[in-house]
Amino acid sequence: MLPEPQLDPPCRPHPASTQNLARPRRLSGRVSALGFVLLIGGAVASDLVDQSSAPVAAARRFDPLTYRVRHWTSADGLGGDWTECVTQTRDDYLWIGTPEGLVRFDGFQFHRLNRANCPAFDSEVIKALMEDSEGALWVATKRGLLRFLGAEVRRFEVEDGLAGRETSGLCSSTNGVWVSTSGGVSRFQRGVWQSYTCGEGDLRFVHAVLEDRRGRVWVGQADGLRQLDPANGEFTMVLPSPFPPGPGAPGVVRCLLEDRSGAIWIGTDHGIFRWRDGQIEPIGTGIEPPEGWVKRLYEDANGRLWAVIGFMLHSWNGVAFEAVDQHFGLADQHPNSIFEDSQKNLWITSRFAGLTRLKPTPLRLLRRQDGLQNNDVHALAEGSDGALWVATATGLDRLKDGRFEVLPEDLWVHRQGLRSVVQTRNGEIWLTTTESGSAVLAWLEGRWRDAPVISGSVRGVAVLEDLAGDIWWGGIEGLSRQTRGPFPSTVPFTGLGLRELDRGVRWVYRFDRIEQLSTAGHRTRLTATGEERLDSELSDLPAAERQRAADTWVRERPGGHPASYDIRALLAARDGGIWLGTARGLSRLRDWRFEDFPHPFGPEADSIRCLHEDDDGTLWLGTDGGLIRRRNEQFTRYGMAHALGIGRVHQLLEDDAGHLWLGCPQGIVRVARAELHRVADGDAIPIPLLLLDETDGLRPGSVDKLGHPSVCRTPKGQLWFATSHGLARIDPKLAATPPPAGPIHVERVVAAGMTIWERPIVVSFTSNAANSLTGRPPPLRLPPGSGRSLELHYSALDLSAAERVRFRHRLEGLDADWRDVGGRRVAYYSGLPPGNYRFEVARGDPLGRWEPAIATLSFTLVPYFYQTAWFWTAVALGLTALGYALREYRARFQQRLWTAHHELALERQRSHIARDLHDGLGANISQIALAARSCRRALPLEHPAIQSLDQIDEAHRRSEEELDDVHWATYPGFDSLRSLVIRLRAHATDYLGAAGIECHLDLPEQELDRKISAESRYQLLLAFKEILRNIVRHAHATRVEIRGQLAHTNLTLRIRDDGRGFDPDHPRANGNGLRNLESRVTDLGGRLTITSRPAAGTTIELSVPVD
Amino acid sequence: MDAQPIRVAIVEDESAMRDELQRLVERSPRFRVTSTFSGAAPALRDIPADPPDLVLMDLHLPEFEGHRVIRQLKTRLPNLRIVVVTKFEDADHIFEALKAGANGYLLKRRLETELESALLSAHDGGAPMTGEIAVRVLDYFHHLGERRAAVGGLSPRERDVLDLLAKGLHYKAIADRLHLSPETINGYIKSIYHKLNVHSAVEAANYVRDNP
Repeated sequence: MLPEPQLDPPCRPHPASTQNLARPRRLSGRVSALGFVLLIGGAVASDLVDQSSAPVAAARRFDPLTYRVRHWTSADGLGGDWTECVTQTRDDYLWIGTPEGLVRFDGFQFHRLNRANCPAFDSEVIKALMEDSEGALWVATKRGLLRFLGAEVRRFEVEDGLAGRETSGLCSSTNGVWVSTSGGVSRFQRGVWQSYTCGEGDLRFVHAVLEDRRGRVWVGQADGLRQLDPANGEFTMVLPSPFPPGPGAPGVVRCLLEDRSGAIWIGTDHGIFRWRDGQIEPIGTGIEPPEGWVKRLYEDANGRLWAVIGFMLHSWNGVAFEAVDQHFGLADQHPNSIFEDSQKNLWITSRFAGLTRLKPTPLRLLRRQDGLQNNDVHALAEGSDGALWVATATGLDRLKDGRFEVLPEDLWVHRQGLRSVVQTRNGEIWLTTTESGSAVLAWLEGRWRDAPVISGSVRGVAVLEDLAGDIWWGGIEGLSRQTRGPFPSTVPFTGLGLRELDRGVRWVYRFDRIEQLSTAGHRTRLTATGEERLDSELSDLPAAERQRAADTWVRERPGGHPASYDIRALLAARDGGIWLGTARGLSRLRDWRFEDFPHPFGPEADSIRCLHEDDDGTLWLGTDGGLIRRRNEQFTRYGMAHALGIGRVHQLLEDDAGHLWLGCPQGIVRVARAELHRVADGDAIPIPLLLLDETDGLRPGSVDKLGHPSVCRTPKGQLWFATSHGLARIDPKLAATPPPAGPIHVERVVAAGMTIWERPIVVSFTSNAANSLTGRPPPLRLPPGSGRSLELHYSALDLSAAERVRFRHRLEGLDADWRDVGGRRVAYYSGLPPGNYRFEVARGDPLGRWEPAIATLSFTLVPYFYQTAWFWTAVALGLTALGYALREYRARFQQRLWTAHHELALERQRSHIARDLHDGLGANISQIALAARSCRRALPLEHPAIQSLDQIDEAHRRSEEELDDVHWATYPGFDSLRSLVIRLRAHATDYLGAAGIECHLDLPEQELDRKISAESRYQLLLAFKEILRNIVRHAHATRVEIRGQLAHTNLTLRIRDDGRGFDPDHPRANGNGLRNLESRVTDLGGRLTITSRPAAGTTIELSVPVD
Repeated sequence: MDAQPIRVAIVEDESAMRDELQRLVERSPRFRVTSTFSGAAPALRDIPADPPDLVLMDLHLPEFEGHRVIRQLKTRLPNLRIVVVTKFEDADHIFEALKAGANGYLLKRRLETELESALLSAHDGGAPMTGEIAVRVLDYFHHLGERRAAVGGLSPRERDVLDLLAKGLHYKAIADRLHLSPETINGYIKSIYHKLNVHSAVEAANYVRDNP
């Protein structure tokens, strides 16, 4: 079953030499320079060869597979699929020239400048773009040349000194800019244009201009290449066109390039030429004219040359140009130009494919289409000869020389659930599966053979060969060792271990019990006192055997316990012993004893996933709680405090350059060991990290691990990671230093669906880093109602991995703390009350690190007038005042109403009383009078009772009159001044007339409808009557003048007689009468004035208020 | 002096008063009391059967309102003269009575002195108008509305007279003020009463028609 082990001393076989055990097949076809040309056509395999075996100078060689391709088209907001040229300005924005204007790209969003929002454009067809040394952006269009400098845009035309209206190319000059135009070349220097023309008519058209480092000016035209001497404006032909000049005739010099060596490359309609040290030589393109016309030449920062030849993009491999379109999905897309930005991304413009980015990545994911049998890779092991053993979900693969080797199908190793694999020093490959136990594979007698090994823990997820050559397995149930030597045996340590005896019975040992698992699957438990059958079948082992098994177990078991028997990772310690990464902490088995190494970082950090020991003895632990370092017997955990916001670390691998590569849920992170030590010692400067994630091709969350080890470093320095979606290969040399994060800006403010403020597309970019924050919005006043729905749009510049940018924002005045919003670039607010606010937004990365520079926006939500505080105050005051007023009014109204009712009631009462009085009293009096009269009639005239009866009659008459007055006074229909006047006049006329006194009346004839109360009427009438009575009785007057006047609120009556008069101080008998009169008047609130002098008449004036 | 004494009927519910009225009326030979009634019902029944020349009626009879009795009588006997007697000057009731066709009114307390002249004046077709009555007449004509158009409102002179009456002036003063003779004033007042009666009759008829 088992292959015969070799007793070679433990030494690593040289990978290049053939081991007598491992003799892997070799890939046919070696890589060579010529072979590189054969890449045309898409042979993928060549890239899998380690770079160091390529004999071609690596610097010039372009490997398309180290780039990730991404296209942006009109579907992504580009606004059109035709892009012409591209450049980057020092504020890191990318500018793309299209036939419909200029587009600015920040890695995520496109903003277009055209005639609509930039009137400086005459033609929107852009031919070339360039940033000059001052930071101005020059835009060559079909009609005119635009310059964007600061916030200012300016178009230059022929009138300004340009040689021609149509501009085609740009080149920087010392202190200036060269422009090739339809009419010649022009140079802008010190604010002035100087133009030079050569040729006539259409031949004046200059397609390309170049000033080289020596100051020579090259001018490419339809009939060839010339040199220009600006001092004297003379043109000298350098490379004439071999064809007669004319439209369509090949020969036009279209583009010029000076490479780093100082050679001038000339792209023409009939091929490429190179001028070097005064010599011109043709460079073949492999394509015959006219299809082989050269549109563009470019050299990137690596010194690689690019050319757009015949509608295809070519790369110079040192010998020839080769087309690379097909690698990037640009076949038949007609690329137009290529440009490299500050982060080493290559940007390609094309006629049909929009904007294409080639992003260099050190990571390459190998998948089924590359020959891997299953994308779900569980474990890796380094094999001999530089091969790589790949354990997948469906079986074992061997990767050798760039090809996945197919192992014979009858091998046992094609099993599901391979968990771990190791190639031992003697060339055996040991592996475990989850269900079917373990197996060993070896190259024996010219072929692969394997055999299952029922040994160790069944569910081993970690495997290790120690220094003595023993194989260790670790799994959920514990740890077991497969010893080598002439009598191999497997000894389980604690937990679940299997021990095989001759009889085919397996014993299962636990801490204090021995259980027997019979081959038939029944279980019986042996105890110290006997056995307890759990199933039907009895054990047929004699007791002595059983006891011996138990003793062996006890004897062979190491001392102590590990932190947990759930073993996740095994690592051979440098100083001997084995490190165990368990589910509950770190342990070590040394000198046949388990030791436990607790740390204070909590249960999550106890769950260890992987272990790594570097060459200075530092132990690194990848746990569910982050990365932990053990150094000098001290533990340090790297968390958010160290700006290493990684959650779980599944995999740990160290490269040749002192970097640790961590596999975590966000992807694969590279961090320098030195940096880790630095921050552990207390340095606060954040650790620079490189993150490889989906933007580099990894699937999200795929960096998980099931087996251990799941990472491997092959001798050539390449790093391999097992992921659930393929086998990841990382070339550490290609991993660049991550650039600093770009700026973040608030881009747009939209309130209630209307854009209130938008960051201008053209902002100052004559900028240093501090100025990159210009274009900051001013404090805004948003109109009322904006708070109903407010959108704040922001964006961050990141040309390499805009999808990776994370944002968080907070609104001062609303949010207590930052809100993480992931990749969202809009903050929505609804129902904001009026007030002052400050919006802050910051950018970060998926590792939870946040840039300190934030963008802010201060704004004020103007309230509707009915929302302002003073309005509400006014309303409140108004309401309060109104409330008071209402109350007052109501009170007064009620008072008046009550008073009126009261008065009315009184009046009614009075009139009721009066009427009742009249009716009753009057009738009675009448009766008395009538009776008296009838008595009188019945008596003779001289009867003594006659006098009394006459008195009764007289009294009756007076009573009747008084009753009549009362009735008059209380009759509601007589409640006006009119009635008073009528009554006074009637009485005066009758009474005075009967007394023979002349009467003159001058009573009011206006405002007669004024109301007078019953009381006033009555008293006035009685007073009037009294006065007249006095006059008749005492005054001996012949004439009475009665004058009444209504003045405002007073009624004044003046009664003057021409009688005797009297002395007011000595009134006569009716002094009482006068006093009564006075009291009547004053009771009414009036005034009585008596003026009299003896023999001079009397004037009585009374003045009474009336309502 | 008429050959025939004026035949007077008395309607008064108080017997003592009734007797007094009779006595007072018959003090003058010019009048003769032909019948006395103690209530409106017998009066309405019997007066039309044997109409007197003049009815002396208490305004406040128990069963009926005075003006309704008057209207009933005047409807049947348009030439009948009616003088109402009232204890107090209830101007509104008196006005209603005059509207209904009464030809004059007397206050009970002035019966002694003014009965004969009031009866004679009423017999002659005149009607007294005091200021309170004039006010109400003015008011009535003011609120006539379209009825005025049908029958004819007050003439300006009539209005002047009424106006001065309403201010309390007596006939003589009015005559002086308007430079007219008292007889002319009298004539105006008669005319006013006539119009008042007519309008009032129309109004009554309408009322009856509209409220069957």
